[in-house]
Amino acid sequence: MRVHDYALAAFVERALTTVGVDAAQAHIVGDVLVAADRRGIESHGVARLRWFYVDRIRTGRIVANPHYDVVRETPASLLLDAGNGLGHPASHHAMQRAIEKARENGVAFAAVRNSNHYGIAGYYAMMALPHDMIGICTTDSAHFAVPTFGRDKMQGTNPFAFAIPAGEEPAFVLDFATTTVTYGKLEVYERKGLRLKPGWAVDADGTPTDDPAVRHSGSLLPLGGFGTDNGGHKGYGMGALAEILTGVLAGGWFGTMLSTGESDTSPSGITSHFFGAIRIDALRDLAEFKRDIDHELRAFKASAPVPGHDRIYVAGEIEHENEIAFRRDGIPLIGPVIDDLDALADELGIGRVRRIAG
Amino acid sequence: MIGEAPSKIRAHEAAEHDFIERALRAVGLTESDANDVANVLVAADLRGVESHGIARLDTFYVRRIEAGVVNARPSYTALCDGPTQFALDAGNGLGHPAGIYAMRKAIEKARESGLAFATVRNSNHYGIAAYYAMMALEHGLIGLSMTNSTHLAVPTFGRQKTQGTNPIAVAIPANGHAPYVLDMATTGVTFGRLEVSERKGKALKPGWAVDAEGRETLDPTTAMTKGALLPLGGYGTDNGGHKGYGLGALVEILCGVLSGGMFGTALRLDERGLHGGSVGHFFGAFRIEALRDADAFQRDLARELADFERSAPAPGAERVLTAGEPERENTERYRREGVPIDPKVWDGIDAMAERLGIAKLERFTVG
Repeated sequence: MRVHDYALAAFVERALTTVGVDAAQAHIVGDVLVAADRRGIESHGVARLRWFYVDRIRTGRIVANPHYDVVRETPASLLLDAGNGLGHPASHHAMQRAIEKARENGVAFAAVRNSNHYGIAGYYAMMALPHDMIGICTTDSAHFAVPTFGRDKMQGTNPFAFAIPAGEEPAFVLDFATTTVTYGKLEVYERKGLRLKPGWAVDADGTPTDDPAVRHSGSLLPLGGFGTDNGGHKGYGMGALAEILTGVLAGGWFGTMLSTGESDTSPSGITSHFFGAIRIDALRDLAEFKRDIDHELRAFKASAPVPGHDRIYVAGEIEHENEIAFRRDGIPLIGPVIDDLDALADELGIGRVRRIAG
Repeated sequence: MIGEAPSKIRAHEAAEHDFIERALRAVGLTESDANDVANVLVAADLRGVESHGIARLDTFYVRRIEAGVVNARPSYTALCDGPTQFALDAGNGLGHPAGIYAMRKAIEKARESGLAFATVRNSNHYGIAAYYAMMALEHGLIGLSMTNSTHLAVPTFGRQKTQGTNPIAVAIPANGHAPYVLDMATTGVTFGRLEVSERKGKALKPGWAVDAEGRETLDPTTAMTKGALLPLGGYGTDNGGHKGYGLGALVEILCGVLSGGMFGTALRLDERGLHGGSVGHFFGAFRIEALRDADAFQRDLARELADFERSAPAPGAERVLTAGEPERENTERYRREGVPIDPKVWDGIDAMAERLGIAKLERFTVG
């Protein structure tokens, strides 16, 4: 089952405006969610439209039309209170402001607090690309992961994203959770009856386990896995860094305040984000930089693969190829997701997502 | 951290510092540059990062200067100098004085403008990344430091070395708690860890290294002589090896490409060989007040770090640590008890002292 990206975005907009979100804001959410699906990051796309966004607005947990408050502003920085609104429009606004400030100032940061889940981190980092800037983005989230040698959930999947423009090559876009895998991966493994790989998760006592059912009681492990042998302390350290740059630096929620999991009763407005933009030509001639980064990215791609693999990818390349294919052929949606969207459409009394015929 | 008991043969911190300065003065460094290098190397040894301390004085620094591949008296060129940015050509000098110089520039600019970045090209190995990030702490700033390095690691599913251990360090001040200092190679382990395994006759752990064909190997000798390191996250993508690879590539781009320095296949050099000028660095400094009241931030950060440390340990583990804590504890301890230096390293620096005609580093033994 495939749908055109624009049809899917239009559907997200319809759903959100129906529950009271302003049209411009709904448009941004549609753009971010469909960008995730188009990049092949299904877990962060329209699959979450109902649970993470529409339902939370309907129950009043997320404010449909929030008031944004600029808490602090300098020529190089901005701190925004997002008024417990949707994370996407607030983040889009903050990153846009960071880009404007970086244009004047060379570099700029923005932080957002009192926000909610904002979809894929890569989207906001990539907003810098058309401006020939490097984009940076991170967010905290409800806690799913233990620290190294710990058993309490102390941080989220806390992704970082970096986007660096290239010349003829597609941009370098690194967007990664600081846990080894995301919670969604455990769900998939449980559904398929597969055992987890070592280094993914621990049970409630903090002992490594390969049982996918552990997702109900256990926790994720940081990138690098259990203990320090494979660098688990590095993933833990990066996850904590994300939480410090977001929750602590934005004056939002952090630490045990966030140890709530992701349930229908968990509080909203607890999420904070961090954005950065750096003008390339502040540090180096842009044309030279673009020539060199193309050269560098091609050097990675031209390096020899191991037996059984036919090529070396650079960060963001697989997602870029998905984008091209899904833009052309439509976005594939699995049965349960399309059923959920149809049910949502019927509930809201709006038109269903239009499928691609055949 | 190498994971071995510290050597019982020790040097006093001040004596080690003085010895490093004398060695570098003997090969022509200025007093100020020699002092910079000594500060960084002693800090590494105090923090327990032995692989990046005096152990490398001869092979990475003194010998490269003696061979004329690194300049003892480089001239620096500012390639760009704006309110929030600085770019330096380090004239193929040692990385430590260049790193300190560039990080100071970033700090000065950040104090005025709120935040600033600095790049360095045509530089050399600069020791521990954390040193430069930590320079920001005394100014109440957040510090960032990264460097590229000779290529030791394969990309995900690759068998050719395309990046170094490319560390990233971030230092953040906290009030009422030690600062948060994250300093991490973007590979699973460093080359030094393979050396330790070989010395102890121990097999490597899965996820550390590959052989010449890019297949995982547990044999330290194979990995070191013909193979390569794996990115953080290990082989393939199952455990996030592509994330470590991506981070390493990011460092390579910021330090090599953005600085206008060397990158890509130009960095496929022998780690221990005599070469110079191929390394680049990237630094950043950020004023907390740009986003939030600094006192409130530092107080909250102390709370956040204490939350982590108070959280329950897994069975068999004593406690949960935060980044930089073991290194801070090492520093306190080694300041008191002397800096541990491996017997093999002692042999090397004694021989170097004779070669240079300087007095040997004074040693003492602890029980």
